Amino acid sequence: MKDSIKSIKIAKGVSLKLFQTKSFKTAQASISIAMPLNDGKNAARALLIYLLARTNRDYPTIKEMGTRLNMLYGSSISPSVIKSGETQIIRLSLECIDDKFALENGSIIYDSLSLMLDMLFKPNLDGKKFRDEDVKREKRLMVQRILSLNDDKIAYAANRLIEEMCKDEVYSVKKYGTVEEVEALTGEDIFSAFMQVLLEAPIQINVVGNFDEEKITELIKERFAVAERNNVAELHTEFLSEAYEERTVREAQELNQCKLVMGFRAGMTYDLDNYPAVKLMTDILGGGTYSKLFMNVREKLSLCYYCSCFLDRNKGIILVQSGVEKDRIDQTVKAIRNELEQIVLGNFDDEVIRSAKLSLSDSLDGVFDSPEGIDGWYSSQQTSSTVKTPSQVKEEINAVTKEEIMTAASFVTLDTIYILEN
Amino acid sequence: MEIQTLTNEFLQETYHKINHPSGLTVYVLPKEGYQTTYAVFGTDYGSVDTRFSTNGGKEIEVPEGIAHFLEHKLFESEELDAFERYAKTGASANAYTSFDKTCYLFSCSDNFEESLRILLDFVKHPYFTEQTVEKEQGIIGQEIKMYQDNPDWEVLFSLLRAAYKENPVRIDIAGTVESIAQIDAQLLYDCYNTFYNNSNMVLAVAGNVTVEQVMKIADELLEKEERVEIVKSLPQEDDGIVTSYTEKEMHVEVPKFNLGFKEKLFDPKDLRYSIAVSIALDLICSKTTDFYAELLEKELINSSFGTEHFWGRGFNMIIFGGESEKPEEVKSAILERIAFLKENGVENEAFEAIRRKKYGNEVKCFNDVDALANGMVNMHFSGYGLFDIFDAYRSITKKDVEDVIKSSFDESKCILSVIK
Repeated sequence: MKDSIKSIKIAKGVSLKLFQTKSFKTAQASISIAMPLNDGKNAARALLIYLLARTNRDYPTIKEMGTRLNMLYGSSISPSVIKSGETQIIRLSLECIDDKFALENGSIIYDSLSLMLDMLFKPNLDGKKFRDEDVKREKRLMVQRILSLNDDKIAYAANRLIEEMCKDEVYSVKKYGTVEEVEALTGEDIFSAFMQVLLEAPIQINVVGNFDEEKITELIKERFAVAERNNVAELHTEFLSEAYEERTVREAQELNQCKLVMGFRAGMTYDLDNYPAVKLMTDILGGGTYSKLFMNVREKLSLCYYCSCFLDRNKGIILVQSGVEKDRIDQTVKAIRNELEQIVLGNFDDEVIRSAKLSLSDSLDGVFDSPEGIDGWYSSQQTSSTVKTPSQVKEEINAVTKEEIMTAASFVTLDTIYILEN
Repeated sequence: MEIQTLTNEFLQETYHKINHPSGLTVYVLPKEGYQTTYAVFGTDYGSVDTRFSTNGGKEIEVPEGIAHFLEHKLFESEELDAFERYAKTGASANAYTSFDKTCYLFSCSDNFEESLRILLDFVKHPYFTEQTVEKEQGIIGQEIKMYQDNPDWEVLFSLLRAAYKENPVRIDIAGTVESIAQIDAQLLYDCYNTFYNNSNMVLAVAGNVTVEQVMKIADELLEKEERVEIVKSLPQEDDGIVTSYTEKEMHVEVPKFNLGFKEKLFDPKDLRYSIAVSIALDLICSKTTDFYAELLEKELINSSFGTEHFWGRGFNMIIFGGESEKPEEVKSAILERIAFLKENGVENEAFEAIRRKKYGNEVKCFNDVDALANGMVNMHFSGYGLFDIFDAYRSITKKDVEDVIKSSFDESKCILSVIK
């Protein structure tokens, strides 16, 4: 029962996933629209999703839209832009309270979902373009959003690493576009990107909660009926399974602490390639507090407060991040290399494998304990060839052997080291 | 053992309050249909508690950042440290120190009883040596520096330093590299023996759990402790502020600001006050006001704009924060907006819409086991019940909010903190 999900085809390239549950006080829904990251329209699409969520024809001002959401007991509909491998996903996410908590009759879930669909299908247009004043406002906000990304130095260092490491790959394209690209956008550009996604983008809609399945399906089908969809865009991500050569990039800023990021190629050729072993291996390297980076680089050597590892399986890369003193950067890099080498050599015990398996299993078991967890689980697999349940993934991870972990580690190659110095 | 059961029919939620014979208060909120359980073991002790006396003894003063240091060190023991023990259960464990609380927590979907055993055991059995203290100084030193590179953190602390002359809320929760250098094993034991007494602590568990399970482990591990009488003394300081403007350079792309009003202290049991503040903030500048659209249109704010009621033991501020090229103009606009509301009151329709949203948000909280467990810790230390906030939102009136707007936001206690 816990893993029960129903998939319904709404139109060509548009799929609906329904997850019925009475466990929660809220319902959750999302519309995820995917397009290739490098078609030159990523900046227009990113702006589009913020524009769509701000106002629409029925609620043409920010105040009217805000009041409508408040009257739906504080339903929230938030826009976001995600880079998933070399695919850009623009998304609207809805959270609302379950119908049984409404103080009067009516369905909050139905009305909120309907409002989210209206954001997509009833935009506030001026003929065949978005309205100038709205575009001007969103452009300014987007430029500031892009600039502010540089103010979080830990995130900035990670972004710079990707930029350097993948400079010849589509993956280095910015999810929001660049400041220059945003500034050049017009209402017409955004309208054309809008029409294109309605007609061509692969779209996934998720609804999680306690709702009338038929009514909800009908509502979504009816809205999508207006779009004549023929050619659905193809999505593809290129994987480099091995680094060509190792490179170090250094930059300096006024900082209290140096930020270190090491970018590795995970040895994967597609998103599910040897995934369970790679996942377990990265968790042993730098996942929980039992991991080699935490136990040795932080606790034993006292080099840093954080030193952890992140696998992006949609691109087959692994990032290790840390914050360290300038005169200890080399020592830290060496220590991190050494921890990976120890995994290749098999110098880790069954205990740490057991800990990593337990910890990953434990979080997989908890995925379905929140509507966001369920929505997120299926949203994150939108571009994946095979959709799995948490229990399937758990089973695969638990079946991984020590030799498989060692082999997975032996395929990992260091590509780029990025150091933000003070 | 005394067990009190509290139910809210409307929310369909029940929790139990247990006065355990050890002197510890325990809360349990079982959630049907959940696999996850979340447990928090907290003490009413945070970074502001640097001067105190116990059982009528002499007042002592300890280095800043010691509560947080203690939090780090408790995970260690003579044998296996707590993280190594949790690694055998699969639980995900953590801890945090705030201005007025220190909490140890874990979440798990399996092996709950063993994980709870670890939590109660390691928090109740301190083990510090000079060597381990020294090692931690390196790690925490890096944690302090990490925060110093975070402009959002810095803009808040600049604001706090401009608002409070003496109150330790003005110091980084983790202290400074200099202050933590003064910490030694003995000082850690002094603080531990004062604040980690059962009578000053609380255990809250929510999720896939029963009262019997929690009691079984509590009975097994908790020993009866004599109550310790603690006097926490905050430095005396007047209502005034240090300075109304503070600025710091940090190489940010868009200047960051916090506009704060230093408010009078209030009784945390007075939920009507905190709820009225939260509604007032929405009425002043949320997306349901023309004022918000106006600030955007005049290009004074961007999407990072937000508000916060920032309070705890011994401090109370209302903060408007975000990014702006013209923070001074944002300040004037907000002051003008508040003056208008003080003079003209608030619209009924806007009030009702916001109250409805807040009601919805309260319902949403009852989904998350982490929000519930942490919520029970907060309510225990503040002295109210878990359903009281929910009820207060239903009974609050427009007049309550208007009164709060009138009595708060004194222009002479307004501070602008800018990072650029």
